Amino acid sequence: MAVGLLRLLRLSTPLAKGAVDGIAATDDPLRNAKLGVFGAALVIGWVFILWANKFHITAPVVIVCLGYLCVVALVLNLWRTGAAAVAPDEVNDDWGRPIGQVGELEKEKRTLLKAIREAEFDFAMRKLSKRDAEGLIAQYRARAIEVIKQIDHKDGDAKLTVREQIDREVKARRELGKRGQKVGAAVEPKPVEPKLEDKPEADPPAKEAAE
Amino acid sequence: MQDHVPFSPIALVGTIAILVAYIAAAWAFAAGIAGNARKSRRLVNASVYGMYGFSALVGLASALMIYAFVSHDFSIKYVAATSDTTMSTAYKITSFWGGLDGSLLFWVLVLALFSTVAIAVNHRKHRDMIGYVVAVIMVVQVFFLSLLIFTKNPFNTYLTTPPIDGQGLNPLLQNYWMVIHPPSLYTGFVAATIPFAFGIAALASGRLDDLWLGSVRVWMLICFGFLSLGLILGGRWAYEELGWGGYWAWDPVENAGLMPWFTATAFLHSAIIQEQRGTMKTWNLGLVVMTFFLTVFGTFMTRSGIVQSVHAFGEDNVLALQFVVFLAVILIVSVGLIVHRSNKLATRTEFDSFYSREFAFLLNNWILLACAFFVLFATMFPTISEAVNGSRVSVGIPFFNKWMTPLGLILLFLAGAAPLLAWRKTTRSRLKEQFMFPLGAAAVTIVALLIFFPQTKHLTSLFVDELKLPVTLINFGLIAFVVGSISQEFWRGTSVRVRQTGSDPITSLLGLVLSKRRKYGGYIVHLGVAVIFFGIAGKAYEQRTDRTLERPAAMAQQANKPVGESSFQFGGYSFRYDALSHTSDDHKDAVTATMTITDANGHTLGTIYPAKWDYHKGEGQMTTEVAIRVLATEDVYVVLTGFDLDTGLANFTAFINPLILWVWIGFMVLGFGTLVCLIPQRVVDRLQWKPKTRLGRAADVSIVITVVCVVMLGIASQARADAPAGAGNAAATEHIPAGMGMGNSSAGYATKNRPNNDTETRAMRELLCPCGCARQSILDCECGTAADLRGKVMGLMANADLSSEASRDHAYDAVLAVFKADYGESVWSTPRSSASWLFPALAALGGLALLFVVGRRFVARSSAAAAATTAATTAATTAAASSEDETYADKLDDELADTD
Repeated sequence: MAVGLLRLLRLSTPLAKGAVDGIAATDDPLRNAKLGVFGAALVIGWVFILWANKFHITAPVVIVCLGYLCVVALVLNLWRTGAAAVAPDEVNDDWGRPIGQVGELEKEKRTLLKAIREAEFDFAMRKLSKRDAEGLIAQYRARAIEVIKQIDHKDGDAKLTVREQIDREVKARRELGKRGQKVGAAVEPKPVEPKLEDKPEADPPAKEAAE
Repeated sequence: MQDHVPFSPIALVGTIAILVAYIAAAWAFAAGIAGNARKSRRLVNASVYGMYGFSALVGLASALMIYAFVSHDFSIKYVAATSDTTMSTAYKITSFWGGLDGSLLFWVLVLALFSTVAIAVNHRKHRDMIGYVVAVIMVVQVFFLSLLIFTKNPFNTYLTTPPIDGQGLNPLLQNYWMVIHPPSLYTGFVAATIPFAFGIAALASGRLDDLWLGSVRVWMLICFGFLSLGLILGGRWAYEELGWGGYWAWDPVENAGLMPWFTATAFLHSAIIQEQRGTMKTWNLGLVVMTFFLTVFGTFMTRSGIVQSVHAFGEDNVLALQFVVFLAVILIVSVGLIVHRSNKLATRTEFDSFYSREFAFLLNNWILLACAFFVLFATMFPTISEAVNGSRVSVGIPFFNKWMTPLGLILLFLAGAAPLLAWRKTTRSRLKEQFMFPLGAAAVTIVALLIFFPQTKHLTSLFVDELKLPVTLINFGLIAFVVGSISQEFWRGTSVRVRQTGSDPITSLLGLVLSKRRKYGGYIVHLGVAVIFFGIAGKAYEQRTDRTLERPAAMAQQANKPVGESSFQFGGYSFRYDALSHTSDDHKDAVTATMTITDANGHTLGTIYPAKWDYHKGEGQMTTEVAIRVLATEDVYVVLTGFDLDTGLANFTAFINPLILWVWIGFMVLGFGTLVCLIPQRVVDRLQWKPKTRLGRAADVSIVITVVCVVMLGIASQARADAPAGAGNAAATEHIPAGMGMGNSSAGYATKNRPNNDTETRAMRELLCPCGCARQSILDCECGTAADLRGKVMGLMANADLSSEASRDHAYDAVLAVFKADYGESVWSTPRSSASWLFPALAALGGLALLFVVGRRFVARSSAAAAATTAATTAATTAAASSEDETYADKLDDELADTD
């Protein structure tokens, strides 16, 4: 009997495998059928309870219905627990990064975009001085550009072959070396001007600098 | 005759459900730990499903328990002890958490439901740590289940014949606020488990980036919201049911909910610093752990009997020991993990300036922690004192007020000041510009109050008796400051948005709040806090009178007595005592006085019905049903404190409670702000409809505002001014002739020996009644003992010289000394031991000094790093200047255009 139950549970493994990315696995062809069975069991049970009470809905009847819901949920989840426990395990490098590297970069980008907007808003609200706002926004913009670059490279990497990825890496390192020499030559940089569209009246720069 | 041995299938299945849940919890714990440690998907999934199964089992056990209540299964001891057949269904369900055993099962149920939702929402985002999260939650569940299985099983049955009917629920708990107050407070307590579980899981998995912080912040906000709801509902219950005219008495059970509220609030602020600046990781984890620790500690306080309270569950040493072990485990594991991960948690904390929002948040964290630890210390002080000296002292309301009032005022100031400050640094000119309007509003308010309401200059003692300040005046000034500050934020924010989007002000305001929900929701919460402080300020001007009226007006007319003897004037109102009726139903006897209130102009404000109820199963414990007439400026609050059904004599205590309505309204505003913070982005996306016309839009907004105002006012003005049951519902009740059933009830005690001067009032307020009424002063207590002790105070002061301040103080001290000699130090509500003020003072001042020393270091460090930062910025901007980066800069601008 135990062996039979184990086989039955293994038949349900697609549900357990897919459950890593969501309890309801989309690649389980029997998912809807299984949920349908449990849904039907629930509805039939409820109708039976109501019929037994002559469809007279009282507090005890409602509580019995809720109790029955718990029983159905219990059976469903015990089944799922068993199915998950006997499912074959997979080794996945992405385990430690649930939203993936690109996902983390996207999240950082969104945070930086909001931070830039927030700094612009604070400046417009006259909380930040122009100098502080520009400094902040320049920092956020520089980091945001770096993040967007990384996202593009990651997206690009996904489409390239291994050979192309290696060529690209070598090229990038050469570029970096050349740029390092240029910076060493102390060429006057051209800073990026932060865009403060909504400027309040002019600040007293000398006074603020003194502070 | 052979005794019938009861068999309850409900109890059997319920006990089995709890036992199987125990096994399920153990499985989910083991699978969760192993799954995340071995990075095994199947084990993590098995743990998650195991936890869902556990929740279903706990749900089943709870459904069985409630079914036992509604089907009157008195073979279960707990059901028989906390319910009876005459109770309404709502109160039968309330009985589930009305006693200790059931409340523990209810705790497990609420945590099971919360954890199911939390795991279902977060398992995808945090699969690298979700196994640990499940494991931590299961450890907490196993602890409470252990209490249920080994010590407090609510399904225990009688071994002999069960009673035919139960003993009924405590009469004080049979109040509609009690139906929702404990669940909301428990939900607040339980919600703190989820952030704790995520915090410990982050430590265990080593994923200490900011990813977990977002989920934790939401759950802490839910914890904050429910704790706030639970506390305010508890206050409302006390106001309506206990009949002492107040709503907060610093009772240990109230304090148990307040302590985690302080630390949760501190976390909600410091988490923003971590998000904005990437610092304070250890501090935030510490606050998460502390909040959870305090929820369990609060539960321990109220269930172990180590503190005396109006509504604690009684002494239980076995339970106390189990809680102590669990608390020790929480501390050891949490501190151990934080130390273990200290290298990953280390961040370089630096502040650009003291005039920055982050420093204001740090200050706010210090004040909130000072509040939490002071409340903890003062609540535990009687127990600590007993353990150290062998003598139990008392800590009453005046002692708490002396310390918490200044701390509250500093918090109120910060609630208005922090929104005005910018992150990193606010320059002096900006500071002046931002603070000008709020400070102006505060100054105008103070001047206006001094001119039109000079009584606000009244001095109140802070910290010690010698330090006196016009607290009410300062309070009103700070309220104006906060309202000014928040209004300015909304005004300027809306103006900026109007300029940016070109839309009308109403749309801009809604867009502003919805796009920056956390920020503006938080501002609404601050506004709610200011409104609550406005309501609290009225407490200083509370008026009270105790009157005995010989007979109702109708009886006076019959006896040809002057009707004027049946009324009294107080606080600008006239109270006419019309009738005293006695009614009875299956559940209780009720004695109800009918009273008509008229104002100074002779306009009738209405009829009120203060009453006393005597539940048949209440073992003689009568409940007070106060009558409240709610006005915008004050509540007229009348209590029937005693009566004689034969003669018609009745004693009344009347209170005029100014501004109290605003406490409830303030909470509504606070709750609304919390809900705004919790609106998910998906809902905002759906709400972005294009309105038809400007008129239609204005109509929509008006409807929303009207609905919110009506709901707020409707809920806030609820009052127990019920008509006598016999008058309005004759079919359901039976009129009992005078003198039958209830007889006299403490007639005359509350009005007996009332103070004649301020010194007597002061002494009576300071002395606690030893009758067992749990920390009421002899001024407020309605019992005979309190009346005798008031007489004793008056006797001692009869020949005292009260002509000068010094002689009044001398007489006051002499009375206190006599009472100490007779009843011990516990009769004083303010402990005189130096430890009582030394420890809080050292902690508060030490914390403040530390804050500034550390703050200076952070600021100095920041200054030193400023050059490096500038260089880095220049380098970054230089790098960004390349042709490739110009393309990316354009791309960034495109993305910024789509960001709200």
